Amino acid sequence: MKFIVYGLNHITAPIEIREKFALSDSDILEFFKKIKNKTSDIVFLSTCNRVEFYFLSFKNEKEIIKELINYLNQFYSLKDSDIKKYFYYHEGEAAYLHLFRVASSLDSMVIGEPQILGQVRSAYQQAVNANMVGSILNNIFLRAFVAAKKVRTQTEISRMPISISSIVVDLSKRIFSSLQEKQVLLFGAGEMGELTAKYLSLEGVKNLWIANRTYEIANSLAKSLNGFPLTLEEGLRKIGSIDIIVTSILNEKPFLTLEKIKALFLKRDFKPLFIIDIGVPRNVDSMVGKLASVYLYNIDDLASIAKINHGMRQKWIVVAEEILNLEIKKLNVWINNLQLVPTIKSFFKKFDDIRAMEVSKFIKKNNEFSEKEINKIDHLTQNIIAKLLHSPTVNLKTIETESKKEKYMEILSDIFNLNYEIKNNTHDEPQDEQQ
Amino acid sequence: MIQENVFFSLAVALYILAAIQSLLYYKTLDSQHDWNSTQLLWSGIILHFLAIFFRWKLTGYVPVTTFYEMLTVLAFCLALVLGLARFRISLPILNVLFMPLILVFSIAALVTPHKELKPISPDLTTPLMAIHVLATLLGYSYFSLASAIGGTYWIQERKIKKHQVNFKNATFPALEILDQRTTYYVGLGLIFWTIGLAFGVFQAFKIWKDLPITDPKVVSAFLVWVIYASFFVIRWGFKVRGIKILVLVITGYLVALFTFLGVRLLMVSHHFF
Repeated sequence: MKFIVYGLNHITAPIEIREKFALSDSDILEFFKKIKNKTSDIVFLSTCNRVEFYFLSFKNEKEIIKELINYLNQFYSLKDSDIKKYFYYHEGEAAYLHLFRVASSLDSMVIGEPQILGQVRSAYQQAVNANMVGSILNNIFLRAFVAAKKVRTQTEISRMPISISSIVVDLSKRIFSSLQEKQVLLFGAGEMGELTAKYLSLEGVKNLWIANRTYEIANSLAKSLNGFPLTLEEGLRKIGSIDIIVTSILNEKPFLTLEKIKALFLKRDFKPLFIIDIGVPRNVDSMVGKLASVYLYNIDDLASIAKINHGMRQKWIVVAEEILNLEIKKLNVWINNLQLVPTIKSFFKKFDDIRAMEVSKFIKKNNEFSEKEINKIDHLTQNIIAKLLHSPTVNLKTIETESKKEKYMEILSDIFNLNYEIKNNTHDEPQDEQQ
Repeated sequence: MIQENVFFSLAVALYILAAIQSLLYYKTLDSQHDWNSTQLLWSGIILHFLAIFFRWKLTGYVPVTTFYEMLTVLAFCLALVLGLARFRISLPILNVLFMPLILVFSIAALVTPHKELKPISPDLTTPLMAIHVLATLLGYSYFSLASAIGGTYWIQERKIKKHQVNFKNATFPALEILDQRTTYYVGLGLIFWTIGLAFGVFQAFKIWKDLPITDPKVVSAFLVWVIYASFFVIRWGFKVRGIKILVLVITGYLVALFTFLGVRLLMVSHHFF
């Protein structure tokens, strides 16, 4: 049994290719029906940054992949060179690591972004609902979710904003309890200011004012951001009731001076005022930042936080990778022990057959036993066999290296002549596990 | 007595473990340590309560009449307000700041001689006296909590102001929440402190037929009341908030600490402790 991941992502394939495979739920269900005769364990993950198939193969991975490509060809005709260029294939430990990294957002375009875990969960749930997840694949995915949760709680990867706009949102949340009721005023209609206002809007800011020299521009931006347009003068008069100011106006000198803010400040009842000056040259006199309850950040301040956070993220990535490696070790132990199941089953069966045969002979020879006594003899001999085999079974499971484990399994099979039974059980195993 | 000692010693041991866990949280930022710390704190609170209960059964009156009893009940009140606060505010650093205070008072109680029960004036064993002491201890505990949260506000505010934000202070709640919580706990402290003072004045008239207004403990306790009352006048009347008003919270706390310990250790007072 092999665990395999086959797919493409934002690193290997451009958006033009990825977008072709953004499949609907009904497409995916149809795909599951088609692939069912090749494998009954498959999860299909499709996001804007990746298209991936996670599946179990019983020596038929080539057939499965051929079927996958055939299916994808319906949406975009893939040439052989495309497949070589865009698709990747991992199996075994590399595949586990890939899944764990994806779920933990270490393989995302923006490392630490929280959405991917939900997307992996949805893909898994969709496959579960379509009866495409057996116990082995189920366990692999559940372990990936546990690992992702550990990475999220034990590292700071997801708490380290690195874009200017997300840093502004993060800082706002450190100052204000809730952004919904806060008054935000954007001076200027520059790209960076607009993006910052958009981020704040996404955080639930309802009262967004946009002030610009040209009222029409303010008006059109206000419409797109669900805000209210103002002229520059109106904006300046409004500062007294504002909580967050974002400025990105092209001006030779700072237009928000200490005197202006001081004069308006008395009306504010010492409420905190967060000013983000992303204008170059600066729009706000640096002395304003000295005022009590005023928090002034210019573009350089934000950039230096971004740099620090980026460095911190790199350090946390190392920690996260260690967490994942540990979780993969645990998964490997589980998978390896799973491979022992047929041998152990045959081992027990062999001993139990001999026991049952000898007990039966003994009872036939000695006719004096009642049914109750026969049951007792049966029970006693079963216990003896279980106790005798307990220690070798445990020792077999605790062997660390796979090659050594395989060697011991072989010796056990040779000594007790288990080969016939193992072959039979191996054939049954995947189905047993999936039930 | 044996039961009381065993339960109290176990409670102190759990408080020590809770403090260690809170420090581990601060070092690693692993929320499991914070969870462990709060669970250990609550386990300590339960055992501590049992210790006080057995003392109560032994003496026959609310055990707040000796210096030892005051220390152990104060440690209990501090632990209780911290435990309750952790339900309302997600601020793991509170355990880091607060556990040492609980440990100082509980270990001081542990080493204070207390085994012998001495005859005591009946005036000190009345329910009114118990209310006076318990209310002031609870008031002090809430002032301590308000100061710890206020201190956290101070750290967070300075970091944001000086652009020194990092992941350690990312675990703090927003400044607005810290400000609201500080005010809330100062309010609770002031309510208990006022009840404590009112019952104290009543008791003074009952026992001494007069209020010893020159007694350093009385002067100091009224000063605490004035400081915290002025906190609300400035906060609500003049709308001042933030660092400026935090000075009052910290000053009030230091004067309250002096009222409990400074007066007893450095001055002569009508109060036994």
